[in-house]
Amino acid sequence: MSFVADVVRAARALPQNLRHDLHPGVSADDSPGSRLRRSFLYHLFPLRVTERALAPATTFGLGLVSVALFILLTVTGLLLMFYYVPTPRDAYGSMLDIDNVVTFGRLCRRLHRFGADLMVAVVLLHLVRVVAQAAYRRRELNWLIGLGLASLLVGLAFTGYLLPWDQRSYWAVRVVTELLGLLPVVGRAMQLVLVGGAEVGAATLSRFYALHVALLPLGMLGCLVWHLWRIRKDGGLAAVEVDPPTVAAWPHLVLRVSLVLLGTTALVLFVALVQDAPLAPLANPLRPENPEKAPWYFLAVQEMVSYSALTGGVVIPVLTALGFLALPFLDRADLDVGYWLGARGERRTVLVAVVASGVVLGLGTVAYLTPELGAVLEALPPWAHDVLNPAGLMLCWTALVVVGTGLRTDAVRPALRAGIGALFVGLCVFTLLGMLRGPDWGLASPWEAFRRVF
Amino acid sequence: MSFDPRHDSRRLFELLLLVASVLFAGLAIAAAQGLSRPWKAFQAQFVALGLGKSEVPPGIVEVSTCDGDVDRCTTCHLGAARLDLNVAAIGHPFRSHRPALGSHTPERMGCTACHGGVGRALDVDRAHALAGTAGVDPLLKTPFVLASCGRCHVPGDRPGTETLVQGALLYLQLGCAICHSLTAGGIGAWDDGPELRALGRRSKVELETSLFEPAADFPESTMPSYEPTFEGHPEELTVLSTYVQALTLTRLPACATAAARDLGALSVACSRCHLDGGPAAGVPHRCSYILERKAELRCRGCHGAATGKNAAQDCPVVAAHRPACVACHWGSETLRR
Amino acid sequence: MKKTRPPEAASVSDAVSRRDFLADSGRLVTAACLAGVTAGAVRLSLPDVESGRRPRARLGAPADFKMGTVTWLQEHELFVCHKAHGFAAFSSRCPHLGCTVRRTTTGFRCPCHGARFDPEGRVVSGPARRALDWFAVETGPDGQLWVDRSRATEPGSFTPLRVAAAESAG
Ligand code: HEM
Ligand code: FES
Repeated sequence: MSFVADVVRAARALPQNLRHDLHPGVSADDSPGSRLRRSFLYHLFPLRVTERALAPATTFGLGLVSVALFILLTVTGLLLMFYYVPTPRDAYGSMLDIDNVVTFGRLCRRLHRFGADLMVAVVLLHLVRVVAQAAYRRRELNWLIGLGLASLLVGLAFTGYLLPWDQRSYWAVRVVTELLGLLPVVGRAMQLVLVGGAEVGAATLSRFYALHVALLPLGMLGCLVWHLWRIRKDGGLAAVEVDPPTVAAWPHLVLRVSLVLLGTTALVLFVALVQDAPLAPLANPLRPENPEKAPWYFLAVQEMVSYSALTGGVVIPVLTALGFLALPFLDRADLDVGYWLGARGERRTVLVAVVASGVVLGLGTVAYLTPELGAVLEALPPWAHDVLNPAGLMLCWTALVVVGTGLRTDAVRPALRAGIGALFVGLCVFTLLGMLRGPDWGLASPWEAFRRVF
Repeated sequence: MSFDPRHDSRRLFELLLLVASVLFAGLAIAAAQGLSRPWKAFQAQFVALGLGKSEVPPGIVEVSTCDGDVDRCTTCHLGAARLDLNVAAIGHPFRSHRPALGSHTPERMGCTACHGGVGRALDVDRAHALAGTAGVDPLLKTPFVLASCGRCHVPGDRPGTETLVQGALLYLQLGCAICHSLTAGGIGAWDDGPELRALGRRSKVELETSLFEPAADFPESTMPSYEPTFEGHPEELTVLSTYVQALTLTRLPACATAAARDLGALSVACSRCHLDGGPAAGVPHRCSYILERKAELRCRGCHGAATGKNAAQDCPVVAAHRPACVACHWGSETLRR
Repeated sequence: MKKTRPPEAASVSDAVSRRDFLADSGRLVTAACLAGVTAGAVRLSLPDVESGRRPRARLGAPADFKMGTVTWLQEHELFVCHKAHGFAAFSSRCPHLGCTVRRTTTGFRCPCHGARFDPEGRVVSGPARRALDWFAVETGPDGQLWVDRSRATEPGSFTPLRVAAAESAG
């Protein structure tokens, strides 16, 4: 009978034993704050953080939102994998099944789709924040890791886009892989590695699938951990004060983090409740849709490529990537690091540059689209088409802005910021224009474009 | 602004509770959405009406279609394959299929092969490709559903395909074939119109716009308006539209050889043009475009003043003669080579 | 060796110690292995056979293509053009970024970024920088038309074929 008594005793003591055995070194009456010291969270968070780091306007929590989205995408993506079949014959049918006969499948697909869309936007804003606060100073390595994360994200978004094997994904991938082939030296090899044969087909789909569900997410996870670890190693958020006031991480930081994670999930969930994830008709290798449009974050590139594949698809992306890579090594000033847009006078200069870019690039693009100028340009030799177009204008104008601002302010940082501002304004103009493209690549009125989307 | 830890943590807990509740509410709605099964209501209704043979509804019914896909239409259309439910009082989705199905039962071929729609979907809007499901070809509704016969059959090889024969004939008589050739995915003799199959499925309204007001969609179009032609002949318009719909439907691979196999049964279609085995005397041109441009097209040069004989090989109308075969044999591999 | 180090040898700080040498060699070998494996992985992902279309393909009998017509052969992604001066075949792939062009009343147009071409495939406007690809057409021993994709030709160059002329005259 003592056996029974033992079992009963063990069962009654279970809650306490569990608590003790699973949290070694923590006693039941420890406060959450002191538990944090010993627990796993301690390895994620510092014990104290600056008050400034907690203020919402410092970072808007953008990095954290990206982390939340990464978790959401991993979970929903793994669930989608249960049903998704990566062959040209079955992929589209399995997407229809996920949408129609898998319990919670539609929800899952929407969460994955909108989570991905949001993540691209949030990561972009995160990057803008870092630039606008010069937070890359003395954090050069983490800036580079961040750029790695951004490129992995673009890779994930692009490879994921092919998986439904619908008209949109098929033609987007055909065009982009063709574009890769234009890159000097490595282009052709990169194209072959991605496509896996002469034509976009079964080999391409399995390669994209492997990249999308294994290689890139693993790379992303690795970089993400490294990125977060570097933040602590670098002493938290970038700032200039010597001895800033701090507060305890518990509860002020930990609860804020929880808030952002839950809030992000709730946001995507509510979008997913009302909006349907798009699915075009089955891929037809013989007939592109008219017009064939890229997802919103590639619209600017698509628009530029429609002026010139070389300038818009190769030169500008490569130069932009190089520029971002070099950014923290060009700007060596320690002034105002961690503060939005630095000093007052500098702010004005950047603002002027951005507004001027809007005017110049907007007008330039509109002029380019007028039939009169079109007729003049058409008469020029082919190489001139690669230069004399809005994308070329953006490139030259950005260079001009960088040099001009640099000469005026005699400082590197405002010059770089003004240049990045000009670039962003240009990309916004192209994105807007891309949204207006209608059948046969003609321009539709904003109203019509709006109607087509909704 | 000094930091007050007590106040801050309190506010944080409140906010966290709020956000968590919102998330919970969202998840509850999502659960309700995800677990709703509109088709179950139909099946329950079917049983309640006393139409079901058993008290237990069948669950999701899936049949394989002859194009190698699956459809689940009969999950709700429970009476489609039954002959006994053809009562006016029984509405959709339970009614029997009105023209008797014969060998074309849903179990053998599925429903989407003829009717279109999204066979894998189970809610009304999506399955029927109603508004909001942009990009999916709409369901083929009653007069046009005959277009689907052409997915397997050569017009004229079977009773029931007369509409397509008439449509093919109109296509020739009205001169459509001259610009919109059907040869091997080809382009018309006068190099003008795009190949209609390449344009894809178009709705009834879109088709009518193209016929009556060609410039509305394609500003550079040289196609004449066919509005006068069809005035007072709505049935001809339906027949031609059905035929054009049929052209754009993909042929079913399983049936692709049917056309070749059924060549012997084609006398109906051929004799429409080759009266008494003679040349294409059965195709009087009714196209105002051709008639007005007789001089410009130098028809006389080939046809002689009076007779329709001795047409030279490179006359565009003769070039259209080949499309005349293809008018019935479109997509048939044997005839494309 | 330890005891007999010649005095004229480099100072101790310049000399590479045995331990450092071994460590460096170890690093080098490790790096070489990693580099080799990476190169191998990249090489693996470069396909050796690009299963796809063969350069030469049969288009059909010359009589299939009526005089004055342009025929789109979907499965070959080619337009076959028959004119008084002969046959020609050109690609229906847009030379910009590879979408499939469509025929219009004035030539061809690409839906992807709006390139336009004239009836012989030369660029009229838009982002394409060269004409649609023209390929050599010939008659095979079987009397059929063949295209040879490995031989590009100038836009507008037709292959005169007597076979076809004889047939259409007869
Ligand atoms: C971390 C960032 C990620 C991004 C930005 C991303 C992006 C995307 C996108 C844009 C799609 C197309 C969605 C659609 O058309 O509905 C997609 C699909 C898919 N993703 Fe991801 N994804 C991510 C992570 C993951 C992970 C970690 C997995 C699995 C381990 C995964 C598995 C899948 C699967 C199976 C699909 C196909 C189903 C579908 O298209 O909805 N994804 N992804
Ligand atoms: S692919 Fe044809 S215009 Fe870009």
